[in-house]
Amino acid sequence: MSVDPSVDTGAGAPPSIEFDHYSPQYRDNWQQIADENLARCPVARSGTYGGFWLVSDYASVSRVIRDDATFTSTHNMDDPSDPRQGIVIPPNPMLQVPMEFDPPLYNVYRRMLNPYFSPPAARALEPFVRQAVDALLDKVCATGRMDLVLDLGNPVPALATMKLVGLPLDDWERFAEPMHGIVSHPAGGPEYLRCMNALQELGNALGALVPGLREREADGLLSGLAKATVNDQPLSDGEVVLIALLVMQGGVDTTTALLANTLWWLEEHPEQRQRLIEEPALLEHATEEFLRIFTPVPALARTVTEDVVVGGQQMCAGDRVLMSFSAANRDPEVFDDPAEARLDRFPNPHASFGLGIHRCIGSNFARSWFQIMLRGVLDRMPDYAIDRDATRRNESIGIINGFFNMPATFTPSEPRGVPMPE
Amino acid sequence: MRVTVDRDRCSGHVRCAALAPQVYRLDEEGYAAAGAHPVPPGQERPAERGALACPEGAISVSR
Repeated sequence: MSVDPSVDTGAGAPPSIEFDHYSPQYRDNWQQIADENLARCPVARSGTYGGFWLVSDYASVSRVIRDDATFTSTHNMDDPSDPRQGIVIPPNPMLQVPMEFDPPLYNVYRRMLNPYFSPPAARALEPFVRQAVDALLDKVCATGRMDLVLDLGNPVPALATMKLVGLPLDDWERFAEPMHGIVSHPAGGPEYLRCMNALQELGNALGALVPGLREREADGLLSGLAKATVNDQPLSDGEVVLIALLVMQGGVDTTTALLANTLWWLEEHPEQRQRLIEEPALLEHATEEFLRIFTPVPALARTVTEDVVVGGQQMCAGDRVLMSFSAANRDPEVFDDPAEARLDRFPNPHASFGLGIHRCIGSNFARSWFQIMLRGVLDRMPDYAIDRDATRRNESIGIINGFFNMPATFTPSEPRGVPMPE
Repeated sequence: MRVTVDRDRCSGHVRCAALAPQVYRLDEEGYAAAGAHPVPPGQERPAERGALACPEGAISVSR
């Protein structure tokens, strides 16, 4: 994964690395690998997955992500020989609508979707999320044991996403399980393929709901999409399903990963945990710092549309580019002492939600859900202790840098008598 | 003091409005209202911090 000095690539040839973002080595050493790449080869060529450029430094990531004309998000599903294969390396088997679109079409979809994800929309969902957190913690608080991921970090974002989309809350595990499986196992492996098939079946079930929703009033994004128009045309059933699945994929697991990494780190830094308990106002800046230092979505891809020089390296039309947000977030040119988590760091222009027009549409929800979950734990089980030997990280962090489970113990407390929200 | 939001650069991160809600108003999509806005008296420091927080560099401050 580091620069191999034995490979003589000739004068002017790009630095060559073997970078595999799905490998266990990367999962276990991603900070060190990012720091090495930043220091030695901020724009480097990797031979894995058919070859791509790995872009690590903040300036180059910003350059690539803000130039949608030169670095396309387009995913040509019909022709695998087209180099434009979207925003994941290797390509996602399902089209991500509208993330894998470019302007001007992208902007039309985005403007149609934005109101569902605005700060007022996030605020409106907060009572639901608070109740879900309280009800879920009620189930475990008297026992003194819980799994921070399985009992809280997974269900809360999944329930909130089901509510947002307008699906029955009881079905959350049917959706969350394969979505979690897809991001925690290596792309193309047997578990990944099983989960992808399950997701396609869930997509078919969603698709069956769409014709009815075109006629009748109902709450939620799915109903809104069924009635929405793009360039004066209604969305097809297929597009409604793809957008809903992308929203769910984005809502499930990402905030989970942020919460799990944060709880893990706070247990390692008891003085910081105490500070966050005593100074709730710190949570605003601390949230940004946790986003920066853990980068739940470590990287996304683009395809070069015309020859261009980035970071001194000549890229050619058709080249694939992987933007490492987790490395950019550790760039010492932008962040002082980047390896250190400083809860009051400011300014903090991290790239964890991406930059430019494709900025994560769920960022307002993510911050809100994360803060409500974290406050719930710090309020009701402030002395939680993680069973580190029984905790499992995701098998792969190529898509999401998270945890499969995180068992913990704490001083028991009385339930508050809060029922699950409906 | 005035703040100017470049709508072409604003990508809806909402850091400005989180730090200075009385200075930076959001449109119905959750993006900062574009153009030049006078800073209410006493809001100069939040206005500057809101501008500094923007990861897109979309906000300029002038006196």
